[in-house]
Order: sequence, then C-alpha cells, then structure tokens
Amino acid sequence: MSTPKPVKVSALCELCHGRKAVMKRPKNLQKLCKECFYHVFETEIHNTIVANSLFAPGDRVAIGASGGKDSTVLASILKTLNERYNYGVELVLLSIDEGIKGYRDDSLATVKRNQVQYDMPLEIVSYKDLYSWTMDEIVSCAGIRSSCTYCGVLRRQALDRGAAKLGINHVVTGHNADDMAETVLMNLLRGDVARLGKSCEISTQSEGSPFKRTKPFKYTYQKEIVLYAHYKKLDYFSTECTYAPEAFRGTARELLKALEAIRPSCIMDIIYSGEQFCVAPKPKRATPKYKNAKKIQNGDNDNEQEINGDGSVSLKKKLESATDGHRCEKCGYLTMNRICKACVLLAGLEASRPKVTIDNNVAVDGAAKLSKTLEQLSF
Amino acid sequence: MEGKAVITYYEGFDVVCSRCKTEPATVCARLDSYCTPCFVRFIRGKQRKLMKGEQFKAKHASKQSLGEPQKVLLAFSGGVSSVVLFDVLASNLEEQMANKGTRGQQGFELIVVNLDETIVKSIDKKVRSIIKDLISLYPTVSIQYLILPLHAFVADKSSLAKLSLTSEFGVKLQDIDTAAAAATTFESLLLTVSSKSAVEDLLAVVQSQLLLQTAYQEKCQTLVMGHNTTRLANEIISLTVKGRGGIIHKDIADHKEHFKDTQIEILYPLRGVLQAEIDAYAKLTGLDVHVAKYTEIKSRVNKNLTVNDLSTQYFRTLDLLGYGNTASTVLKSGEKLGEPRGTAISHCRMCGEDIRLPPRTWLNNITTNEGVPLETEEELRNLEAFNREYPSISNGVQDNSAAAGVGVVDVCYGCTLSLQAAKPTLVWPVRHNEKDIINEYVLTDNEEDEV
Ligand SMILES: [Zn+2]
Ligand SMILES: [Zn+2]
Ligand SMILES: [Zn+2]
Ligand SMILES: [Zn+2]
Repeated sequence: MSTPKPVKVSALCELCHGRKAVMKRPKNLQKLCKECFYHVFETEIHNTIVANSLFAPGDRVAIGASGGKDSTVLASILKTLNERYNYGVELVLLSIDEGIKGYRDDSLATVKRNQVQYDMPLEIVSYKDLYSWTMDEIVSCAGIRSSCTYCGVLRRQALDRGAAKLGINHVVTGHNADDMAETVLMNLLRGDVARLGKSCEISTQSEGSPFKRTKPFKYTYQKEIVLYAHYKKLDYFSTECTYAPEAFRGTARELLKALEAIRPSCIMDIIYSGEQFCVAPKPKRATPKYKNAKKIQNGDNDNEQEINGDGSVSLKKKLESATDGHRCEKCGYLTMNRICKACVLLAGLEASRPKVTIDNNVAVDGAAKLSKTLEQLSF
Repeated sequence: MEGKAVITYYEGFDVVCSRCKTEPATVCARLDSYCTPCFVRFIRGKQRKLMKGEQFKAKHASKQSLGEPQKVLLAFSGGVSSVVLFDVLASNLEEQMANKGTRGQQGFELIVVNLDETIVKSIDKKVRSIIKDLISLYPTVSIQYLILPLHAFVADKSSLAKLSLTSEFGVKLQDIDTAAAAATTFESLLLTVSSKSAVEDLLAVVQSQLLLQTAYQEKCQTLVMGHNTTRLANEIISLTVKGRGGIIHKDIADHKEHFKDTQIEILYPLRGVLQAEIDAYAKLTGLDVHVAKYTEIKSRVNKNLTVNDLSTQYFRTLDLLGYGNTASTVLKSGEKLGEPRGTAISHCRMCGEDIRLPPRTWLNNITTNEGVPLETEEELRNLEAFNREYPSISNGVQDNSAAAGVGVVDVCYGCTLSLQAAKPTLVWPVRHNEKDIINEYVLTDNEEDEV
C-alpha cells in the first residue's frame, strides 16, 4: 500500500488549514475538521458561561435532563468544561417523568444510562406524584390541543420542586439558539408583551424566588448540537414528544426553518434583535389574563372581580401585593397572582375529570392529594 | 377570528348594509356588512382620523395667509396600498374643495413621489401613467408628482467609499479614486452584492433615505406611506430577522425624523387596515385596474426567496389557516416596543441608525475563530501547501490596515449582515461621522498648550 494521497488544499479545514474538513458548520457554513469543530463548539459555550457568570465555585447545579439530544449534550459538555476549566461546580441530573407512555419510559432509560456514563447523581420527579395527574391523563381529559400549554406550565414548576427536593437553587436547561429565536418570534406573533422584553434572557429568576434558570446553549445552534452528539457518539433518545407542538407554534417553527435555509445566520440575527427589545414604559395596570379566568366588569376597577379556574370568585388584591414574590394560596409556589398558573390549570382539570376515575377511587380527590404532596416538599 | 376569512363578498342583494341600513351589502369585514360607499367611508375614516390635525385642514379665507403651506409627500410605488392611499388622500382634498366654509381651498398640497425601481425590479405597468390616470380621476384638486431614479442615491460622488468586512466582523473603509466614483451607478453598486436578501435590505435603506431627501427638497413637512397592518407586521418580522429589531419602535410608528436642519413627520394612515381590506377597497371601487404588479428583485445569482418574501408568504399562510388576526397582533407587539436599553455609542456609517450593542463585539463574543494546533507531519505538510497557495490568508490574516490608509468604521448589525454578502467591497455613500469631524477640527486643551 502506498502512502495516502495528500488532501487537496481546497478540502482543508478553514481554521487549522492542516486537517481535512469533514463538515460544514451550520452557524456560518465554515468547513471544519472534527477537532476544530469540537474546539469552537466547546469554547463558545465556555465563553458564554464565563461572560454571563453563570457559575461560581461551590455551586450545586441541576441539569434538567430529558434524555433528548439537547440535555444529553448539555450534561456531557458541562462535565467536560467543569473538568477542563475548574468551574468547581457539582452537577446533578434532574428528570421529570411527565407520564407519557412509550415516549417518557424510553427516554428515562436513557437518562439512567447517562447517570452512569457521566457519573452524576440523578433525581426523578413525576407529574403523577406532584400533581396526581400524568400527562396522558391530562391529554385524555383536556384534549391534545392544549397539551403543550399544560406541559410547559407543569414542567417549569416540577423542575423547581425537584431542585428544591435536592436543596439546589440553580437549574440549567438545554434551550438552544433555535429555541431562543423561536421564542422571540412567538412573543411577537402572540403579542406577549410581558415577555417581549425578556425573550432573550440567558438567566431568569423571579424577584424573591430562590430558583435560578440558565441556558448555556443560548447561542448554540440546534444543528451543531446534533452534530456534536453524532461525532461524540453520545447516547441520547431521539424521538420527539408524542404530543406534537400546537399548530400555531408549528407554523413559526416552519418559518424559522425556511429562513435558516436562505440565511444560516438568521438565528443569531433574531437573537441580536431580541436582545434589543425593550417594552416602552407605560404606566398601566397589570391585568393578567388566563384562558379560564373571565373578568367581570363591575365598573369599579379597584374592586375588580375575577373568576378563577376553579369557579371561585375572588376580590383581586391591589396591585402592590400582586407583584413578584407573592405565594400561591393553594400550593405556596411563587406567583404573580393569588393562585399559580399550575393550580389554575389543575383546578380546571379537576372540574372536568371523568367520573369513572373518581368512582374507581384511583385518585381520591386530586386537589386534596395535590396540596398534601406539595406540603411535603420543603422550600 | 380563527377559521374565518378576513373579507367575504356578497353575491346577491339579500343582506342589507349594517351602517346605512338601506343599501344592499357587498362586503363583510370585521363581522360587519357594508355596502360599497359605507365600506369606502370606513377605510377613508382611518386616514381622516389620523390626519385630523389643524395643519391638514382647509383654512377659512380670513386665515389663509398665515404660515407656510402644509405640504404632504406621498410615497407611491404603484402597489395596491399606495393606490388606495392616493385615492383616500385625493378624496379628502376633494371634500375640502367642496366644503362650503372653505370653498376652493385645499388643506394641504399633495405631492406624489415614485422611486423608479425598474433597474432592480420588474413591473408590469408604467408608474408615471398610473399616477396620471389617478390624478385625472380628481379633476377639481391639484396634485403634483415626480419620479425619482435610484441613481439619485449615488449622486453625491464625494461621499462614496469602499466598505468591506474583515474576518473579525470589523468594517474597513477605503477611499475610492475620483474616476471610479464618477463611474459609479446604482446598478454597479448592487453588482457586488450576491444575496437577494441583502439587496432587499440595502434597498430599504436607500428608499427611506431618498424619500426623506425628497421630502426635504420639496419642503414637505409630512411624508405619508401606504403601509397597511399586514405590511407593517411583515416589516416587524423582517426587521427582527435581519438583526434590525432595535429600530422597530420608531420604524413602524408615526414619528418625526430628523433630517438636516429640519424634522419630517412620517405617517402611516392605513396602519389600521388589513391587506385583504385594502384589496377589497381596490376591487369594489374599480381602482384595481390601476395597480401595478411587481415581480421579485432581479438577480443574477439565485432563485432564493428573500426574508421579506418568506415573511409575506407566512402571513398569507396564516390567513389561509384561519389565523388572519395575527398581523394585527404583531403590529400591536411592535407598537409596544420602546427605545432599546443603553445609550447609543455611535451611528451606522451606512444607514445612520444608532448603534448600542456593537455588532463586532457581540459577534466576536459568541463566535470562536481559532483552530486546534496541528500535530502530525502530514498535517503540517498540508499547511505548507495551503500557505503556498494562499500566502495572503496564511500571513496571520492581520492586514496592515492603518498603514494602507484604511480606517475601521462603525456599521450597525443589519448593515454588517448585508455587507457580508458584498464581495470584495461595497461602494456606498458613507455618512460623515460627527466624532471624526470634531476630532479633526476641534483643538483640545492639550493641543492648544502645545502650540
Ligand atoms: Zn481544523
Ligand atoms: Zn399553586
Ligand atoms: Zn351602507
Ligand atoms: Zn446600518
């Protein structure tokens, strides 16, 4: 056998000019070798962590782990960077069992393997234990249309409650640049003014809340996460959630895909725009609206009444008391309102829970069990 | 409104107009039935409301000599919204002329300006004849018009310079020799831009500059644009996608723009009207025969759609899917935006917009551009081969900019993106930087001491 033919100059990596390029970088279409790709991918995430002071030595950090590619790569890379740069943080895997047959069972098995592969402790909290509802039960009761709304609200709380159980107040999630860009567009499309100015925050924490959420993948392209997992042969679960995103979000996702095809930088460009969004200050009363909460106009704004999801009518507290740092009267979770969003949604579900279940005594009074379970969790 | 079309037309005469309660309704919009005259009045009402200020009113004979005459410049592309806005404004003047108290007086002078874009877009009609036809529909009022070629953008040859992007997202400015400047045409300027989205983005900068300049030269205090709700929503999404989200708050608002020594008010009288309603207005009034159809930006390079194309398509799809009210929601979102946080540290030398978050710093913070050191002999041999073939790139990339009389200048994120598509350089009328002028001509205390 003769010596291998030298690599054509035009086929060399655009950064090191010495190794053969094996891929095009989705972010800027640079042709790179595997080594340089690992290097830029990892270094960019490290730079993001440092520039935003996401971690301090001694921090205990929970990784929201779903078994999917984003959170699997997150666990892998945080372990790598923690060791390489001596962050001095303790990493823990935190998984939510939403109770989705077929989807979650398999993905949890992946997380359990990751626990061994990355040598990290694992905590699993389930919707069933927390809320006495599985996602499958919620969908069969409320319909598939609003599944993402329920899941989004419940998962957020579940992660906080799981972290509380572990005595941890910092959860990192695998939200990537594509998710950020999609959020920016969705907030515009939905007219979500409250979130418009916060679309791109890398770190979120309600005032007075002990829980911090951060997104080290804020500037990381989804496609690069896929490529990294592929080349590193990471063990992840690649099936999408059985409950596909609601139709409207789906249209925004399609638009983003089409835009990325004509201009790969558009994901960064949208994030740059989002970072400049700032809602014009306007002295205005905050009137939170929920789908199942209807306002009654009685002419006197200070005594405005509101029907809650559970049908009860409450006098709305004056604005001063309804700011961040208020606790849900039902479960104690931090909320802007009297009752937190999860409790409102759950109360709505309880009202329409099929009689069969109650008769079967499977879940005796879900609401009672919910408050009981939540009391047991310390904050 | 989910599942409902924005506009439906009535075929027979069985529904009565819900406004006048006498005439048969021809169209259903916003859940109300209208006869054609009532629908036309409804749409015209939007403009009458926005331009109800004293300055647009016809003055009583006793007050006529007071002050400068109010002049309004209408940006006219020949597209359906601009045709409808022409009709709305001309009818306003016609009513003023017929009014008893101020008989024979127009509240404002109307000047129609068309930026002739035929060198970059194909159009199926002559805009000049469209304007003439439309003016002839209103014989009692006096309306001026002018057609401006895009070449006007490069008329000031002394301001032309060559701009190019460095590998570190910096923008280099190089002088251009007088002969090359003299030979620069608008077409030659766009020839170096290889992406349709970038051409589209630069064109928008050119349009707004030329419109303001025309308003200034014609002494118009007000510039009115035909943008409807859907078009403004499209603008909000497109600006966001093009990294220009920081200017949405003023770009889509009725606002005053500084220009040289004056301020020009920019108004969007049709902001409250959906595209489908504009189409209905043109169809019901028969104005649709005057509407020009543009085809895409001419391009030698590719058949790709542009950012605006995709956004337009998206809103059309949403209409079909029954999310027809999304455009209004997006416009409301955009109207809630204010000035971005932080102070402007400089202005873009290409478009003049404020720069708060320098694109160069931002992009370099999130992009790593260094490779992994080479190890094997084979890799090192490859590098040698590379160096032989591309000596300029391999020489550490650091070009001696300062030595070559090349300056690094501030350019906003959106313009940086468009510049990325210009190879090797883009010739552009560069704006003067106040700071440069101050640095060059103002003597500081130290310098005075030295002297
Ligand atoms: Zn390389
Ligand atoms: Zn609660
Ligand atoms: Zn009528
Ligand atoms: Zn600019």
